[in-house]
This record gives sequence, C-alpha cells and structure tokens, in this order.
Amino acid sequence: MGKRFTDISKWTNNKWYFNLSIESKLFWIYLLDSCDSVGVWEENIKLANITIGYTYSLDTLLKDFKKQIYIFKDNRKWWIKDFCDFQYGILKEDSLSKPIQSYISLLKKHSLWIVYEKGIDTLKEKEKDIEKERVEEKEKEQIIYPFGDKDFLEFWDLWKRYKKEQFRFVYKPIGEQAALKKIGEISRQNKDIAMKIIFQSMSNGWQGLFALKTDFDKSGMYDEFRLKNIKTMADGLS
Amino acid sequence: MDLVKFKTKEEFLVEYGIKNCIERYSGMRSLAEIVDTKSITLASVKRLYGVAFIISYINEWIVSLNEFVNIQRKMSPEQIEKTSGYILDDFYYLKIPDIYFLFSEAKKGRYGEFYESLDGAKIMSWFDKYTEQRAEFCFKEGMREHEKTKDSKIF
Repeated sequence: MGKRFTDISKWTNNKWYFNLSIESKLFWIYLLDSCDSVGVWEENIKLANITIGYTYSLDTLLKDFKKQIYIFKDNRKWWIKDFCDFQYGILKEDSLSKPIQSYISLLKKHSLWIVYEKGIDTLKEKEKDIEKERVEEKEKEQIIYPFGDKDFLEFWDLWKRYKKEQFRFVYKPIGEQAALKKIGEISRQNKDIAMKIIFQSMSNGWQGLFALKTDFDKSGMYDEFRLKNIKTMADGLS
Repeated sequence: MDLVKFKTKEEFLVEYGIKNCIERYSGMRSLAEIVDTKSITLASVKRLYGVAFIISYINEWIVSLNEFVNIQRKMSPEQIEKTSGYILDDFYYLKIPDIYFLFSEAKKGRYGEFYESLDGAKIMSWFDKYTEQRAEFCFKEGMREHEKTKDSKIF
C-alpha cells in the first residue's frame, strides 16, 4: 500500500483550497492519491465519478485547478506541478539518491523534465523577485522623511535624479534613509536650509550632502529670528 | 540696587542696544573698568520689561557672536533661545557692561578656540570663567578697601 505526504494545513491556511467547493476538495484529494509518483494523472473523469460517487464537470475542474495543474498537449494527462517538490523536495539531476533518479527518469519519460526544470527556475526567480519587491516596498514604506513638505519631497526627488544622472548612483532604502537623516541633522531640521544644501551640492557637482558653506549661510540664517527678537523688544514701544 | 532707572523700553534700547554698547564700552579693556561702570542688571531688566524682553535681548548678543565668527556649525535659533534662558537663570546679577565685555572677549578668542562650532555649553563655560574672574577681582578689591580702612583707624 503506497503512502504519500499530505499538507495538513491546507484546510485552514490555504486560501485556494479553502475556497473550493466540497466536491472539488474531494476531487483534489482523489487526484493527489491517484496520480503516479511524479504527480501525473491520466485523465479519466468517468472513473473518478464512479470512485468518488459524484458526477464532475470537466470544465469546473479545469477552472478550479488551472493554477495547480499542467495539462498535456493531448489533453490526456494532467500533471500536478508542485507534487514533486512537496513530496521529495527539489529534484536535482546530480543527486545520488536512487529514488530521486527514478523520479527524474519518470519525469523525462513524461517529457516533463524540461518543464519541471524551467518551472523551478522560473518559480525561484519569481519568488526572488516577489520577495525583493516585498522587502523594497516594506523598506520604502518605512522611509521617514525629515520634512513632509511637498517642496522638500520634490527637491529630494530632484537630488535622487541628479545622483542617478551624474554618478549612476541609485539609493537603496537603507542608504536613502541614512542620507535623509544626515540632511535633517546638518540642516538642523530647517526645511529651507535642507533645500539650500541640496541646491549647493547640485550646483557644485558634489556627490554628497554637506553643511552650507559659511558665505552661503550668511545670507539670512538669522533674519527671521532677529526679526522676532526685535518685535518682542519693540512690543509696547510708542 | 539699581543705579540707573529706565522708564521705557525705548530708553533702555537707546542706552543699551548692542551697537550703543559697543560704542560706549569699546574703550574699556579691564574688569576694573567694567565692574565700576554704573549700569542695570539682567534681573532688573527682567523685572522692568518682562522675561520675553530680556531673553530677546540676550538672544541678540548671541546672534551677533554667531554672525561674527567664521565657523561651520553655528547655533540654531532654538539653541540660542535656550542658552539665553540659562544665562538669565544663572547669571541674573550680571550687568549689561559685563555682557558686553564677555562677548567681546569671546570674539577676541580670549576664551579659547571655537573649533568650528559654537553651542550653549561653550557659552555657559565662558560665563562661568568670567564670573569667577569677576568674583576674584571683587574680592581682592574688597580686601584692599578693608586694608585702607583698617590702616586709617586712629585710637
């Protein structure tokens, strides 16, 4: 009597399986038990109907399982795409394991080995991209700007474009966050000074962000503050 | 006790605006001259015109120092405001000529190098140094006066 692994979490943690009708759920289990050792099932709906005790519509099954199965060109066989990975892990041609070699032979016999390899690589790349995208999105969401002002955000975008054009440099989220922290510090949390710092670097062709040079700084750093002091002292003067 | 009384803020500013202080006291080069000058204390200014006034006044002194020195990291308005508050808290007994003398000594580098930055802690340390020197001077002057009086007693 053959035995196979089953995913016990499919009942609650698998959204696709959860949303299947009761009949399709039962068919899926039948499919997993009836396929060969590499997940290939020779399509025989009539037999399935008799065995399970329910009359299935082929169209409904194809619709329910379209992502999970690979239909052979002659429509006579179905291949459960993730079957091998779930049961045995990723199959490698250089494996010394006899069972693994037998599975690979069977896949080759079904002319599925190339599809299997392609699927794994594509899947891996896809997963990597998805993961990378997910991490980048997460990091992007978490970027904290020293000033939420629209003017500053536009200036910051300009700075990033300048870095890309001039130095072929693109900030990673961590690097961008560090640069934003730096500009917050060297501008002493003053948005106008921060924008002047960006302008100073771009107009001088600099790669980095630096505190405003003194002569630039003299052009009004304390103007507002002095005005405030004078108004306070003048308050009440005739 | 105030040696000089002012009626209005205008009179005070005419007398003790920064430019006027520089003109009036620029000839004074020693503690003796500064201490002997009749003037008003920071505490008295606060009492007469309110805390906002005196803080703004001290702010202007600190701003003038920041604008005078050629350093990379100047003080922010918030830092200046806080420092003025601390000066008023700890050194309320100082007079306007003392403030002038301290800041002019700082500009001349008598309290040491700036090392490219200026901050509240640095300024407060100058005030500590200045008041120490001032206290020592006043003590010695007091002793000298006491000796004079002692010698002149006739039995």
